[in-house]
Amino acid sequence: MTRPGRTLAAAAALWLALTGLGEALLWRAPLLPTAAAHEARVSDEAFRLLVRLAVPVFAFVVSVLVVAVARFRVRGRPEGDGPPVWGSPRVVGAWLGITGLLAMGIMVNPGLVGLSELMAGHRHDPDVVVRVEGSMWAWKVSYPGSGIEAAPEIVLPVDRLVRFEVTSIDVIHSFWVPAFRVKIDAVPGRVTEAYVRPTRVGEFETDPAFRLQCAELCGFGHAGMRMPVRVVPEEEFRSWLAAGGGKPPATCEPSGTELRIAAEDLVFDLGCLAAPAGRPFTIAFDNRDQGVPHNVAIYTDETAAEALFVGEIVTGPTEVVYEVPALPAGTYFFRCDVHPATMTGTFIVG
Amino acid sequence: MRPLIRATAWGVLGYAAGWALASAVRLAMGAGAGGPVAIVVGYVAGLAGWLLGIGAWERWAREWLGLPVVPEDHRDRLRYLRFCTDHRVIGVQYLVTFVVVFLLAGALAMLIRAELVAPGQTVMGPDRYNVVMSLHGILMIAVAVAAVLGGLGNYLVPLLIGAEDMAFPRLNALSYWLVPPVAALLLAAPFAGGWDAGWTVYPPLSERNAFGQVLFVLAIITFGISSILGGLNFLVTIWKMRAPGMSWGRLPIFVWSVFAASLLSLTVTQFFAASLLLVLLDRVAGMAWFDPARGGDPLLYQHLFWFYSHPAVYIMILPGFGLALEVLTHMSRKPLYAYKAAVAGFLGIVGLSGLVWAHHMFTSGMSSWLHAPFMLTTEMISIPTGLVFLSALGTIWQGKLWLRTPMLFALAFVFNFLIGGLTGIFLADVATDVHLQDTYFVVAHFHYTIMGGEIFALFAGIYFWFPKITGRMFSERLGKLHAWWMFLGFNAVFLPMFVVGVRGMNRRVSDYLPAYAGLNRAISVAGFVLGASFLVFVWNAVRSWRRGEPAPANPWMARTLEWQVPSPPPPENFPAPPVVVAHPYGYGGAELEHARFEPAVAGGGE
Repeated sequence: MTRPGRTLAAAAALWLALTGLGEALLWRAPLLPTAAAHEARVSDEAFRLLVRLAVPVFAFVVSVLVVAVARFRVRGRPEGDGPPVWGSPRVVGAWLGITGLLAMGIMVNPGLVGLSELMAGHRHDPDVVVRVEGSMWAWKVSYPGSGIEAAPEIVLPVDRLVRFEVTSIDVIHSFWVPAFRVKIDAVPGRVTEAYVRPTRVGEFETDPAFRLQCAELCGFGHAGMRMPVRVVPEEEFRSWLAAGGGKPPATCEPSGTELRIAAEDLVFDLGCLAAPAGRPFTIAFDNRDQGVPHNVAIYTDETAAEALFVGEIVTGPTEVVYEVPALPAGTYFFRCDVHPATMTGTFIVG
Repeated sequence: MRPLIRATAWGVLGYAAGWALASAVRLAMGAGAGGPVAIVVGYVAGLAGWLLGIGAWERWAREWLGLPVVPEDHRDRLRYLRFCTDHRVIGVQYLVTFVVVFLLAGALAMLIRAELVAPGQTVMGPDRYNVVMSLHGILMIAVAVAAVLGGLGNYLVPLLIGAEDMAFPRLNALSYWLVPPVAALLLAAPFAGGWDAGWTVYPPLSERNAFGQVLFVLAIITFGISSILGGLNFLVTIWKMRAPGMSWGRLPIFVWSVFAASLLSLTVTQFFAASLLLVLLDRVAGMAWFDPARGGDPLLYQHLFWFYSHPAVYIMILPGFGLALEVLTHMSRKPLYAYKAAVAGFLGIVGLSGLVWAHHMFTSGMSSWLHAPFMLTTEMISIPTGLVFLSALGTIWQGKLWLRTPMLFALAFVFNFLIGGLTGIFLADVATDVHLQDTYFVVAHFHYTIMGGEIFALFAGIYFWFPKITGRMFSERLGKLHAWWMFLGFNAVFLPMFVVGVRGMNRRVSDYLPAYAGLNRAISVAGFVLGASFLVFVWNAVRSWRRGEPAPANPWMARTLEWQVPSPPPPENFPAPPVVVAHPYGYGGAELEHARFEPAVAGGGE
């Protein structure tokens, strides 16, 4: 073989080797998070196909670069020029043909094929409707017809079609559950929709992909604007619905008149506080969130219509001691007035 | 320094006059003095004062008023601090300004990575983080738009086409002197509460955040005017000022890329300015373009915004393509492979760029029937882009590769932009984009195209033309050190970002779940290493500019026009008018030289 022929052969060999290596490495590389929905399978299939197609293209360009640099580099100042090759219409035509075919290929699959599979869900009536309302910086989740107006987490049955009806009351947020590979903006003044058919059970405690995460920059609390998602068997979902959603009520017992609670990363460290009945007490409140205002306020119930005590709002990091007057025995509700959707708990006096 | 002091004084006076005028109108209508409207009117008048003070008075207004005009002194040592119409001065002004802005915005990136080195709060709270992230974004966007076009474009285009200067030298100086008020506003914004809406400033957030947002809007509208005027100037210059014989088919590829990018900056920048103007009117004039409660539509903003901001990435990358191909062909000592196909690629990108904007909006809630057409047009862009790769690879194949610093950057450009381009397909495809949109995958992708692409090409260009611009050689050892350090650091930072994004880390966050801690720590450490690489560049540039070896006229033995004159070029660029007689890239053949210089007429010229 002539020398130019040998160089071409070297590039071709490197191309094949790099392609094989790349495909082998990426074939089942654990790049993607848990896929827990039909939509996630469609998305992941498209992702894997694109990776498979990208590897030979990447390997081709890298092979040409590497072989050209290794073979054609000049040490010191070059003497004379390379050959006056200006390019031929045949090569340009072939290149256009190949890149055009590749482009058309991905337009059809995964492009249009993936799109139609994603849209397939929209043609059926959903089994479950979940309303999601974003606000700065919390999600409010309700299940129409079930009486659940502000669930502390999203619970979904496996193998049922779910329609999320998403909106916002202030700025644009975005509804994203990584385990479902589904994202849709929450836009004030509109209701946007997302369809999901969960295919496997799972929960946030053990897998961070099971979370509703705000994905559109919405200001101060954007990073922490998330909510746990739990996919459960159908029966468990029904009984959760029947029980009115929500977590099992928190319980705790009074032990003295000096209560402590802290706020960190936009959550309280305790879900339940207790104080003895008929005696004044203090709450030492430690706000550990730099630059974030919080307080502790006690109300008769979750509607927060009637306040029993409202602590001063303080910006962290700081510690404040609230002096609370004596309260009659009962089970009450406390929250941070700045973050009423996420920072709540039960207040027991007894 | 006197013009700068006078410009500042006139700017302050203008601001006071505008503020007083608006306040007087407000008082007459029964409202109080001051307020956002007075600040906006004050800014417009202050901007006019600044421009007149810096030199538009001598160079423009006096002529209009029929007053005697003092000719400009192009040899004044302080010309870099004045309203100077010399394209080489303006090029250096742009280049130095935006390298400084680049380093500043890079320092902000270091702060971002410091905050993200571990979950929880490390160095700043979410409020400060959002401001730092937004400022990093817009400053880098400004660098990407203006460093190559304003800097290398202004310096090189007249030289490369054999012209004495740009078509509209005064307009050119005006474009540059619009930039300092932009920088002043952006840097003042953090002291007016900052703005926490990123560089994309989507309403309604941008209509209810701190007052720094208004300063951002004024700054970017001003910057847009500068960009539009620059685009106009390049188009007319390239169209009308070419030397005899410099046909369109002999235009150096960098000039073609500036032409293509200028077509876009002249025609689409208005949409960005208009969308921000509407935000401004909503905020200070009580209108409701984007307020749904009063009949407005937040999605309207996104359509207008991306109608500019997607083509804007081609305003950034096209000149990058031009620089990389220019360096590759000279340093391979071979004709630019498939020259016409590369030009067709540029123009194809320009043509398609206006038809793809809504791929940024697949998850925005726009009508779902729009998904398919925008996915298809976006994926079509891979075809003209492929021609640029054909040209690059065909050029280095069988060449005599001279691996000096500019060549290393140009080769790194091909590698980085390849990754940027391939990962772009994942964001054009609806099924994958619905997951990847607004994650770190997007952050990694656009850093691969703009930083790995354009900024690497910018450095290829800076090193390549450093001898021409400064008249001195840079240290090759430090240059190579910078190239390798930056290349390895860059890939170590941004490759893992794809992974962390796919796994579920969203972007523009000051905090993240512990599940993403390991990768983020690695990214941050690599980020600091990458940041340090620029110290090598600064040291090399400053030292070589002051006392590097004097550069010969043509250290790279290149054929294009700028290398046929001394380094730096004389005033009016050419000792005698050039006549182009052959292709600029006629390496290796029996081709004649690219151009001849007609003997100067005795007693003529300077």
